[in-house]
Amino acid sequence: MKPSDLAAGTVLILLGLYTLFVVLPAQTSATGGIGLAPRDLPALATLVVIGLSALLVVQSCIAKLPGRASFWPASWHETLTMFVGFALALAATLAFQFVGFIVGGAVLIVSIMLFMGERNWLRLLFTPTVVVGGMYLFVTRLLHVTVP
Amino acid sequence: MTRAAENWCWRGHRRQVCLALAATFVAAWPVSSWAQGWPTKPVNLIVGYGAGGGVDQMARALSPKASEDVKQPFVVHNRPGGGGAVAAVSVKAAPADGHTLVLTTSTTFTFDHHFAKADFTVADFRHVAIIGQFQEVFVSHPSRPWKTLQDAIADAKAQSRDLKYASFYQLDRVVTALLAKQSGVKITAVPTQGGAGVVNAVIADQVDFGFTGGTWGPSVTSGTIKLLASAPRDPLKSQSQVPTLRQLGYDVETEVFVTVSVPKDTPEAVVRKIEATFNKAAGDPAYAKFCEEGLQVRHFNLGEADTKKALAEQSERYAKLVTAVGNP
Amino acid sequence: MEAVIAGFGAALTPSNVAFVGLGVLLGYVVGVLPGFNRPTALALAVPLTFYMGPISGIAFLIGISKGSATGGAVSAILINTPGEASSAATCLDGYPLARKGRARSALLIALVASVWGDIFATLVLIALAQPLSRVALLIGPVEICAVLFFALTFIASLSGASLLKGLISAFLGILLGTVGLDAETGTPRLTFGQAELFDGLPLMVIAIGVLALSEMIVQMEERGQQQGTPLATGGDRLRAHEIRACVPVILRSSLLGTVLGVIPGLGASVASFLAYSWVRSTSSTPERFGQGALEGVAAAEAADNAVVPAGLIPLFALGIPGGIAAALIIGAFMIHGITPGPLMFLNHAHVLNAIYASMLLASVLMFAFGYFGSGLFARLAQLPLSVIVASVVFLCIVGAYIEGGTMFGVYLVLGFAVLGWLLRKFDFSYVTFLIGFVLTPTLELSLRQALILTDRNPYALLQHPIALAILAVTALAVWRMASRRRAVTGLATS
Repeated sequence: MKPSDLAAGTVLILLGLYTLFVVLPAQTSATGGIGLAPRDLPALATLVVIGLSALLVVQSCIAKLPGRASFWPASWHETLTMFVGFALALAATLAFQFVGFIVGGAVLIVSIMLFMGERNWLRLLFTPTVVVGGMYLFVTRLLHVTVP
Repeated sequence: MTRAAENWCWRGHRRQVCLALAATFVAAWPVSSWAQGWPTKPVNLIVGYGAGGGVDQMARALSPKASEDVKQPFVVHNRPGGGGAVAAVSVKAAPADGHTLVLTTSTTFTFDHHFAKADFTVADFRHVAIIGQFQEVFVSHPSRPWKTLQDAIADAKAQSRDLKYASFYQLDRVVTALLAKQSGVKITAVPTQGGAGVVNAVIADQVDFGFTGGTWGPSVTSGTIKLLASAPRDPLKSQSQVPTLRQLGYDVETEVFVTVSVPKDTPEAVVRKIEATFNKAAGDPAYAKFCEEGLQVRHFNLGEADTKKALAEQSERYAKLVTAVGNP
Repeated sequence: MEAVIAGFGAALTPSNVAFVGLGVLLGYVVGVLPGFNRPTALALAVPLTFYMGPISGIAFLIGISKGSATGGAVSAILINTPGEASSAATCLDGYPLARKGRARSALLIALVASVWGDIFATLVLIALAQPLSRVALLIGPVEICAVLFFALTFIASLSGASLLKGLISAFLGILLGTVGLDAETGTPRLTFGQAELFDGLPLMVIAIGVLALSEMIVQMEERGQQQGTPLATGGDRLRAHEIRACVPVILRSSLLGTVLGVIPGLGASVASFLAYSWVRSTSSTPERFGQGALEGVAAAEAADNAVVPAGLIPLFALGIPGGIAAALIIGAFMIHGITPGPLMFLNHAHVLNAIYASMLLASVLMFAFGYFGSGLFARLAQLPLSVIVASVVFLCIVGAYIEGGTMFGVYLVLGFAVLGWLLRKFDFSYVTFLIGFVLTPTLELSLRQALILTDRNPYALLQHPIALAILAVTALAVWRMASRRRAVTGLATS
């Protein structure tokens, strides 16, 4: 097994314990309900997660480690992609909320396309217009949903 | 299809798609309102329950007439959750210009806060209209040998067993808790998913009886369930021979209105206009018919003054009920 | 017999055909678009039926329901975003097929499976509505609990390489499934004070985040390649032996979908996931699944479409709505003065026959629209990757906004996108995660009901032979799976 399993297992155990002893008591009541108390099923699920994660940790320690091993399973390229992708989406979401639907949408689409290596001006212009414009009309006129 | 044929189709349909899009553009451009003051843009009706439920259907029945009246669309949005709490919270935070209203059950304001912390109170809104009242009933499988709820309870007492009933919200649990207290019989609630879940459990004869707010009409007419008692103070309009809880000697009644409310800072003139619009729409005989025959909802059409009074009285009554039962 | 023919006659009038066709088309479009779902469309459509006669009005609504179940597959396959909650299982093998350039084949198989599942369930409705619903009444909370426990065993087979990690994902899904107002006490659980979470985490938002958005982030890794890999190639054809392999799958899944659809409260998502799991775990080549197995798509789609007519069985026979869609259709019945339930067969037999005929008509039209649509959409999939990824991310955000109701839904979807990415990179199964999440509300509710109804008395189980039978089958399945795994690991180490 991979050391990434060891890492994942350990994190899950820690999160699970935190959930069991801090989050659940704060967020659920242990009494009430004749069939099952509200806390029963989430507590059970958390316990199982902790138990299985412990097994995972043990398993990852015992098994032979392959040649190239690291605690973080994704390559630098993949991780960077995730951070940039997430940052773009988050920025666009904030633009949505505080500037507006159309601006946020256009920014999102153009920035992602640029990130993906798109250099064709026509496509960069055409895509946001069609997609954002189309969705805007659809959502506001047909669905009557209010958008920022 | 051959490649050539596919290409032809795509090209041909591209034209048609463009035409369709153009037609939609033209048709959907909003007609500007020449009316002065409220409303100046579409009015949002935030319904505190899911699409298809009784409250939602009433909102959708009213909105075309209201839209016609003020020349602006009344658009229904469903924001279910917490028995209307999610909708109430979102409208409380909305701009108080009369373009965002909340349509929910009165219990959202007068009853639920005894059981769940809410980020709003009844005083955060101006309650502009009451457009109906649900008629809650106790139902059972036709094979049970009882004519009324009292028979059921007496039966259980004689056999020293407890009663299990299908329940779907906190209100019915409080009511049955009081019945249990008054009669000395243990009544256990079996949780189900919504009123339909209650009817399902009763038809399948899985429980002794059930409590439901509105979905009992078709089943009673077909004979798959029977009515044991009704919970509001006044007897059912369509089945007045069914006894109310008070008529059976129990000191409890339910009262669940469907209310229309706006944020409390909404200007007075706007509130008056909203009240007038809803009173006109709810006064339509077709709407009344829809409520009574389609939904088994008692038709109401109250303005702000009466609504305020009714809700205040309801809050007091429920507070007394909850204390009498002793919060479980 | 003449009544049936008269029914067909009434159904085939030009205006009725037009209304049914319009309903199916609308439903199809609704299904394709993530964020716009069936209950909303039906709620918007019910008032429109005021102006149609009873036959057309009700057939119109049923057409919308059917169309949306078919359309949901399109976005599931093309962009890993379920158009309807019930199409989530279709993403699991549908999208990998599209990635391999076989979007057209996937769409066609999905269509064939959808239409077949739909016709099968419609025929069952027409022929067996009344007797079936009486049987359905025997299925109470105890039996449903047993069925869901059985469903959980599928998780083992869906875990992929690591059973341990698959189980962990499943229980994480279960934990998240408990978020919301507790069904029994009405107290909030794990809602952190957010009123938007009172109804639980919305499945669509989670599905969009974990399936679509995280996938798009992974797709961004292929940036820099100017054209990227398009999602459909021109040379993709569905081969005869592949269709043949799917036939038994479609039959089994249609049957399962119909059976599960009759039981009120289970829902199309549960049915499609169960059908998918069943087919996958009983396949002789389970490792193909998740990488693009046509049978997976066929199973999920046949079941999820069969649920729609099957869900109408309790409505027609007993007047009980099995779900939101059926509840709205009740409204339409009432508006036209028809009381759904046993009396309907006596008092309105001619209307009923016409409705049946319209339903079959809807299935035929669904195939026609779907065939044309899949050709159209498959071409869309040939756009360059950058356009697709950017547009899909945008659609995901808009869809999450519409589904969640406010910006909260968008923040949720971003969070779940990160979770989905982590699950993928650390090799945890997001399939079992989704299954755990989807099954939990129904499982917990029926478990509670069962415990209350039986007074926690285990001997009461003896009064529920159906439940006992299902539990016995569960035990058998677990034993079989354990011995299979032992054999596999035995082979691996020898």
